[in-house]
Amino acid sequence: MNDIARAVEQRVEALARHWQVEPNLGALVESLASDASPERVWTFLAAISAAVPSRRGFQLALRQVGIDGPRRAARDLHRAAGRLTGPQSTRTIEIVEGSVLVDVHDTVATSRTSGIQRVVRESVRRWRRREGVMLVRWTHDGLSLRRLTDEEQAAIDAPVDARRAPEPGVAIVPARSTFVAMELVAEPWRARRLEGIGRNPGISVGAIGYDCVPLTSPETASDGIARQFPLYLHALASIDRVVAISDSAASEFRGWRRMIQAAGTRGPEISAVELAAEISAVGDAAKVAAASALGVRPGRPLVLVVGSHEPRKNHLAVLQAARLLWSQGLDFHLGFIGATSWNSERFEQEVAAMRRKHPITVLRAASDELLAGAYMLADFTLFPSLHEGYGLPVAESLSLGTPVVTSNYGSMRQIVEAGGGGVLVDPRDDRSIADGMRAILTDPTLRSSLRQQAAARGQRTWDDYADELWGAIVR
Amino acid sequence: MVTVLDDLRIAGILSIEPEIPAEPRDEIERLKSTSSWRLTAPLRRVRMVRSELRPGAVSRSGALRRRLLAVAPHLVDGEFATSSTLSILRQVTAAVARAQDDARLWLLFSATAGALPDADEFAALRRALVWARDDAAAARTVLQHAVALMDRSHSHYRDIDIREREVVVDVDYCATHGFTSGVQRVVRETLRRWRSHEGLYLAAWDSEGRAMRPLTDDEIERTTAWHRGHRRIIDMQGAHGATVSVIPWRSTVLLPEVAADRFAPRLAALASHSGNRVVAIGYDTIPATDGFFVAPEQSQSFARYLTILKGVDQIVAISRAAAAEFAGFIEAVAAQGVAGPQITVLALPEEVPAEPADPAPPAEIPLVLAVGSHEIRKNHVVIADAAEILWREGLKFILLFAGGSGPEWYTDLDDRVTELVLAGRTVAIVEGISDEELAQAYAAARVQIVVSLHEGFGLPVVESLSAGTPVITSERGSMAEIAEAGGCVVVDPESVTALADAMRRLLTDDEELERLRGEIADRPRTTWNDYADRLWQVVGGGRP
Repeated sequence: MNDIARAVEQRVEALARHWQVEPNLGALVESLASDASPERVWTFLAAISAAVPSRRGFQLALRQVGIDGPRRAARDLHRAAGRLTGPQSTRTIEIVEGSVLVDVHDTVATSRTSGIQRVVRESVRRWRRREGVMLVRWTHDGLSLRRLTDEEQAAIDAPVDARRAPEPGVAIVPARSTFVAMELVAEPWRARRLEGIGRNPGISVGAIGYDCVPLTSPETASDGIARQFPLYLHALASIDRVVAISDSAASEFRGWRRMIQAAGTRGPEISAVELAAEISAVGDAAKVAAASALGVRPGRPLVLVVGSHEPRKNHLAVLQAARLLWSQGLDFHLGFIGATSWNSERFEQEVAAMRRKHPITVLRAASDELLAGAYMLADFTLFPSLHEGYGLPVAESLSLGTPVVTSNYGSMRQIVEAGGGGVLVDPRDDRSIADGMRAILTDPTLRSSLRQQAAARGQRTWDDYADELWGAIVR
Repeated sequence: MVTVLDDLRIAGILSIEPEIPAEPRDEIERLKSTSSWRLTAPLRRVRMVRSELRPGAVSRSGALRRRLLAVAPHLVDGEFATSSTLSILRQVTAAVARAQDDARLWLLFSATAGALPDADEFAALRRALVWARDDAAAARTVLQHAVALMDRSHSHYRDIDIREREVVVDVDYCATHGFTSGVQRVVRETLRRWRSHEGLYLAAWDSEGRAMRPLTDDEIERTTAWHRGHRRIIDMQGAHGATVSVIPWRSTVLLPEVAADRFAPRLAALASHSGNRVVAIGYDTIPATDGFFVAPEQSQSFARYLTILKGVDQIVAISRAAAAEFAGFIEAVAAQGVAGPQITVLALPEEVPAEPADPAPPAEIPLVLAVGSHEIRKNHVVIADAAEILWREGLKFILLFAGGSGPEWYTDLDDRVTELVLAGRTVAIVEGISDEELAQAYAAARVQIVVSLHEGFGLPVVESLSAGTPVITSERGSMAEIAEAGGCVVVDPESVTALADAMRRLLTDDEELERLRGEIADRPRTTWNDYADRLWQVVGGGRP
């Protein structure tokens, strides 16, 4: 008996154990014939092929059952399993029931710390001691789920780059479980598998909804994401729940759901659990370090702008508004903290031209401590973004007691309205942004009342977020 | 003296004149004979520009002057001095600055550059003008930004044609392509009926997508005189450079096609800033929500199109279902403080594409027809599978898949049909069917099946109904909507057994078939004439 035949036999035995029948193909076939529900066809297909079926593969299997009957279909699928090639062919399986499978595929293999990875790490850290939680990622061939290795478990806390690490040869076959898609599923192969899991009526599938920017602000999406996001949305149409990171993001997903409902797809339930904005206050030393890094002259007010320089963040409007105020004789330092990004050339040019006359600095990166120092040093944080799923700098700034000038709609407005501390402006009108800035810079009464409001706001912690997310996404 | 200085300054800012090759014609002809027509597009553009370089028309500053003279009456009230080019620009800029109006600034920018700005270019000019101390400085700022746009657009030598208070229809795709999908069907059927309307102007885009341009006579013919099966149309994409840029002003701009990403950024800025009323026909949002059903390039291009829709005034959806899709999109956009367009419904008509070539011969074996291009979204494999269930039960019928070939990678249908043919089943695929043949197939069929997973409208459903043939269709979306008025049986498009049950009934139960035929006779009828008339009213055609 070769490796492939042995692997297929192990799968038969594992499924037989799961279905509580004699460990042979004949018993499995009869079991499927006695109840060929879509859920059981899915499980049979997943187990016998040691992979998560795509929607198309699942449909073909269902039709085969419909045409040829379950007995012949089951034997055909078993025969096909013996003819598989590649790593899939020799994979054995572990059938998992009653668990919460949490997909952390990207997060455990990258040292990057993007916003999404932050959410995943902070949540999973708090979840992993819970009963029934199993962290999973995808095999290199993108076909099967598997458990994390010890190194990958450790990578939740200590990020490392390990994209092509050796992987175990045991595939996880989910049955009657919950599956949680924590990350943005942009890759086509992965969207296809997420859709496939969503098609199993016995698996409850939830996903975090970060935003619909590539759908609703496509002018700010790169070509790559514009090509891939519709695949992700197509996959989400088959799952059970999307838990958005703000009410505003939830309203976008509800709009999307209305789009697909028009074509007869029910789509997932949409809810919102507002993201955490946990940032630790720092001492005077960190403020001094921030002042030095940003080159702020003592006594000169600091206007802080946090975020990458992509067009969506509206930094050209920031520059114009600042220039308007400087030309009216106001004195302040404009400090940017954020990375160079897609389509930021025009911003770079403008800054280079304006820096000769005006106090502007741009920091490409900052530690958490330096960032906190800058927030606390600033007179206010300026964040007139055109579109945000959440607007983290708004929440972070307010939680450290620093007022904000931000956009008068969407998640940014919602954060300010839940406790105050901000001035709302129209981000599409440079003069409106300048007016908001001028109000804080020139009106000490306003400034101190905003500071009081900001200071009175509580901080939303990752403990809060992780707990509420669990309640909303796990069923 | 001042005049001369000003014009010298313009000459300087417009940079150097290009050199014209001594004997370019021979070289062009030689290359044309060795390369394909499409590959020589850049050379043809050179030739077109060269033909413009007649004595008296050869300078960049001369072309700029002509453009400013053309736009000035639209922006300056009363008399204006035509002494020097810069003084015209100064007067026009001063008038625009006084008005503080995006639309006028957009017109000034577009006319000066001979090309249309995108939103970033427009915003950059508007911001820069804030810092101009006087009219002269403002004029210089406009000129600097316009020259940058000219350099990117190669529009230095172009004239402009300002179309005021007309219905300007963007027919870029239909003018240059022969391919016929549902969208082109709508465009050609409509424009065929509009061609002699007063105030209609057809436009396409230059090859780089920087400016709208007039259509050539060939292109007008291709867009308005076409009907399917009439004659084969040759693709002419990229064949036309442009020497005239078309600028709609206080007009209604109709977008009856899904705009290509080549010119989408310019169209988005036009929709948001130009003051023209922009109306788009809304077909569906499949490339945005159903990524697995389309090629990735189509999703990318459609994303750029959605940006345009955020700024248009009205979307005329082709069905209630399509309207709901666009309404969902607009609802999602509200989170960024955008109000979005008004959405209305003008359902496509029920009219059979042509008369059958021959009267339908009496059928010995019933024909089951499935019309639609062969792609995954059309869900054809489930029809083949349902048919197989019935063949195994001993039913006799012919199954015919008629429609355009889909993407090359989609082989599921071919594979399934091949298996069935080898098993001796009466099934076939025909691609490239003419209108007359299609009409004949509709007339001859006992039943037609359209169980697509997503349609904005479902033309094959209504075409079949207008030929008197009942349809088994999807219980979802626009297809269910069409089915409401009778003559259809609806099923879950993903259930092979439900579809097989419906097919069995219509193949074996003559009374049921007659009942459905009776319902078809009672359906309200609309024609392409009705559609074209109503759409003309929507775009305000014929208004004084």
